Amino acid sequence: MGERDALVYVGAWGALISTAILEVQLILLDIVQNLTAFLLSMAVIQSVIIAYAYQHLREEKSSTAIMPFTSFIMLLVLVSAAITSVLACTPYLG
Amino acid sequence: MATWSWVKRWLTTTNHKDIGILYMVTSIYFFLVAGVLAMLFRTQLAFPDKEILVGSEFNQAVTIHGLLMLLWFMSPFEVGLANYLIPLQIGARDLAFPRLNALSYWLYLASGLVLIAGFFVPGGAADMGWTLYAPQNVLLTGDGTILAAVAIILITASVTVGTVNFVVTIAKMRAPGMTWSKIPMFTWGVLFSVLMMWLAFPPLAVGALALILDKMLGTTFLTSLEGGALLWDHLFWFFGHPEVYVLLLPALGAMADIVSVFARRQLYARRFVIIALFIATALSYLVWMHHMFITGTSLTVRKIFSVTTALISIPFELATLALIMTLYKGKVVYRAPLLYVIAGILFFIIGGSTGVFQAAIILDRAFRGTYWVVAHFHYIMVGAVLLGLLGALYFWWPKITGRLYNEKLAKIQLLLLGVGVTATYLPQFLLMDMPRRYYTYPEEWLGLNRISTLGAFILLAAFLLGLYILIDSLVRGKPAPPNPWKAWGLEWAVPSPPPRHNYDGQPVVREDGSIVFVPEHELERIGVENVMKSSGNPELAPKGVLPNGGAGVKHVYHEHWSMTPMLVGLSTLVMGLGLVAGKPVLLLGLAILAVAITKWAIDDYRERFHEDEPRFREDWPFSGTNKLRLGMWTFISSEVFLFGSLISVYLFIRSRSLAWPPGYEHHDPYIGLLNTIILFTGTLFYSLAYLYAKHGKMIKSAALMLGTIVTGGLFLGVKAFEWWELFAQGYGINSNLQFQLYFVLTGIHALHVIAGLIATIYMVAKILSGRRPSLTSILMLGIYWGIVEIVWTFLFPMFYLM
Amino acid sequence: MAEIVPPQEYWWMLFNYYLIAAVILAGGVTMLLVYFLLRYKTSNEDEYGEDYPGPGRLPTRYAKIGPTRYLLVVTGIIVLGLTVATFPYTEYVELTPQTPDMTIWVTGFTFGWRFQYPEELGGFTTVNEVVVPTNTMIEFKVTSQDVFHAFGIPEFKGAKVDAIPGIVNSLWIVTPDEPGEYDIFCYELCGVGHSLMVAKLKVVTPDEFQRFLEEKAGR
Repeated sequence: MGERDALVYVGAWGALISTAILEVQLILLDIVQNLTAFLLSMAVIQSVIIAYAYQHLREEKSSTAIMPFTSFIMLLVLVSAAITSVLACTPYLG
Repeated sequence: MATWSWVKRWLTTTNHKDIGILYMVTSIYFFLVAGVLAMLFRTQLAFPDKEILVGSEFNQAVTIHGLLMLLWFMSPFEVGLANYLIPLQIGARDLAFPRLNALSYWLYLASGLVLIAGFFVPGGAADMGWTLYAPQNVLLTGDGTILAAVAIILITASVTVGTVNFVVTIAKMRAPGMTWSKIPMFTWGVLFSVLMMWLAFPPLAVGALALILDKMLGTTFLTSLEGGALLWDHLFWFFGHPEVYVLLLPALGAMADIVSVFARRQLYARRFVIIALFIATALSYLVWMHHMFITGTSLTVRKIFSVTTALISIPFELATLALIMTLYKGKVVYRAPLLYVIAGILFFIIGGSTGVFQAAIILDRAFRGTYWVVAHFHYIMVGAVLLGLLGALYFWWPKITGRLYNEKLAKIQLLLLGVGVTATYLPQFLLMDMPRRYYTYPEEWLGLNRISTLGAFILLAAFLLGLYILIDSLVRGKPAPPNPWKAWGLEWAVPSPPPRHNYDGQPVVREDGSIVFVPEHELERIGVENVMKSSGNPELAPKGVLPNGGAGVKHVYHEHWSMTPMLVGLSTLVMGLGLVAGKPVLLLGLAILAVAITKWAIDDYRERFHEDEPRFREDWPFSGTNKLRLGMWTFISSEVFLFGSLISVYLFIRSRSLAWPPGYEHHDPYIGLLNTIILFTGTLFYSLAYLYAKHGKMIKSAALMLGTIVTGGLFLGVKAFEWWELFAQGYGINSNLQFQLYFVLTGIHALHVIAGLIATIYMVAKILSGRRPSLTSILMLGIYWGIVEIVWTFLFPMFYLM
Repeated sequence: MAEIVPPQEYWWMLFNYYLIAAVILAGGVTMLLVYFLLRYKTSNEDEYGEDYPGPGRLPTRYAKIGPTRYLLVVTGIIVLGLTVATFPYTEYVELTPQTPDMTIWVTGFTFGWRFQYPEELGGFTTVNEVVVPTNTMIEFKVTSQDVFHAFGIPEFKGAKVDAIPGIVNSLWIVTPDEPGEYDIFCYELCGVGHSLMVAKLKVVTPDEFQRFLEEKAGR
């Protein structure tokens, strides 16, 4: 029975665990330059692994896969526009 | 007539035509409420020195008027029409998920009632404008605002479910030969509309959630300087601007079909119009910051949004020109629906061109917050959308009710509406200095305001006349023939009103555009491909074909109905009210919800609910995909956006915070890492369970699912331990923003874990009791577990590492 | 002083250009619509246009977009061109071109406006009334102490910014040569007293302004 599928699942598990341990160690050693960018891109990588392996996005037709993809792109737009507008306005905290 | 079986039919119906009617009737009720509120505040505005409706009451009236008209009247009315018409137009027997369709409706009704209940609680209904600006929505309002926020969350749930349903229906349920290029413009309009609702509503729901938490649990998302006004602005307008096009596009689609029918032409440049509307749909997500031109944002960012705003006018200009060009060399018959649409186009031209003014930042500085804006969007909303929808109602009324109506009176009504719209809203352009939502104002604006109020009363008269026309038609109207307008389209090829099952025989659209209804056995004998090519080829022509709504054989229709959607709706109503009324009511609501979910599970277990699956269909490019999987991915994408909005709230607040100690000072990263590993392992178990199920080894599959349940329980246990420790140290949900975000985000995530556990336990129970759940349902739960895990991959670094 | 163009002059200029463009374009399209309606009217229900699908059918042929595309391109260029053409004026209005003669801090509160004069003029505050001399360039730095308001002086078109807690937005005006009184309104619903949040901008002669300062200093 599907050894290859099982291999994908376990392989993904290994990759997820090792990236998680890696990021904790790197942070606690305090050698990461841009913290937010590093951690968010690690999270994106892990998400792609999960979507590909566990949510079986690899088996979906592209007409279906475009749904979550669109959502992700729009999210980037919302976040980046909101953050840019914040960083650019004149704060007067307190 | 009002017997128990009649009541029961409407409470349990899952038929798309019934639900369409429920939607339309309910939305007209909300329209009347919102209209009465408008008359009240227009009366006050005619007498600014009197105290007819002042202070908070005035504010409540304008707030609820706006919310009801946009979210509880126009959009649901369109959804009602879409519910009734789209299956008929594309040749389906129902929507893809009839039970979810009923759920959408009951959630919608519950949400509207929760909103209106605001008038009866201390402090009155929400009173900070339909935009509910922060921080006044937290600081200066009563319990009614909590109810408004609950209503917003409920209607978000309703439209999310509805979106999944319509997307899958249009993608997967079309009759053979009903290719994308042939489906009517109204269906296209609804498709674009739901695609906008799909991602626009989750940020609004997140904003509403923050509002509830701020008001009830003492968090400070919307009152702090770090979040506050700008945070709400972004969340609200990311929803708010697409919402305008959400309302516009179905109306525009219906207008295009109606013009085509009465001009006796095809829609001009149809393909370009569809492309243009698609571009507008995408662009609609990129214009929201033009509502924030004077909040003090970077000029560069605003310039970009200024250009996108100007750009989005071009697709609509093409649509307008196409509507007009359709008349060219036509044979135009002046029937009532056409005249409504023409009036709609005229008002749309005015409303649209004034919108271009507001795209310019410098001009918008003067218009912001004034009656110019009010005039502009009422020209669009009332002038174009409402008149277009009335045209649509008069167009499809004979089809829906099977009755004709008094067209002469309808034309008189249109005259009243035209005068009313002009008298009400044209003076408001001239009031371009007058601030919105003032109940009293300087003398110089009195005359124009009085004309405006007079116009509002003319509109009232017009709508009362409209109600009379409809009731008169129901009581005394002549029976309508199947196709009173000599219109093209599938819905006009069936009797008026259509039978419960829509068609006898399977509709097939042949390559030359002609529609035939073929008995299913004939279709099998000849082959769908051959039937499509059969026009002008008598050898291939199927036997027993009737051109008009019924093939030789009667279709055997399985009625389906379910009580559970209504119960779920009821439970949300009770829970929503319970947030204000107190714990016993809240618990009662939870109890009803538990009953509803149990009943749903039992129905599913006993396989009680049967849907009519089409045997023949056109579903390029979605062929080969199960409708459940497409639906699940559409739903999951909106979940992504929900969590994404929450994460963007975190990033937003964080980037405005002056001090933010790293997360590992409060949360042990190793415990977090442990929990991450536990969660990853649980999903691994679940995926292996799916693998076993795929190969028919159900018991092993169930064993692995048990592993998922154990790891999920462990995860919650560790989470509870962490929370308990933090509480012991004196931190809580109303500590500083860092902790507020921690508790809220991990709390919502934990709720998702609990929901996943319940579903997994049900799945194991089903397997162990000897039933075999479908492989697709196991996969769908796996997709759900995946999203729970993906969210955690973001939450873990956000709170433990940075 | 005289060489500084008051922002509202540019505002009115641009508004008029937009109005002309809108009237010509919208009017032209409307006339086309009315002409087609009258020209192609018929009372014969059974007469069909050349490509009408007719009952029991669906549209299959697609008319080409034809000369409409030129109209579309032209109007598109006009709309986009107008928008981009406003940008220099937007910059002029938003980025104060040179040092203002006087900077007054405005704080919105429920329900009124508080004005704080610069230190060199005494640093005193007034509520719901701000007195300024004629022919002076004045910058208002606007914020709010509680909720979201919006500060606007409608007579000076474009003189409007949001008053948001934690954020300072600014706008500038050039007061006219003649004394006069202008209304200041709140343009964002801020609660029960929103309608009453009206302040006065009093433009007075330099002599009168001097007397006003002395009177305030005397207190």
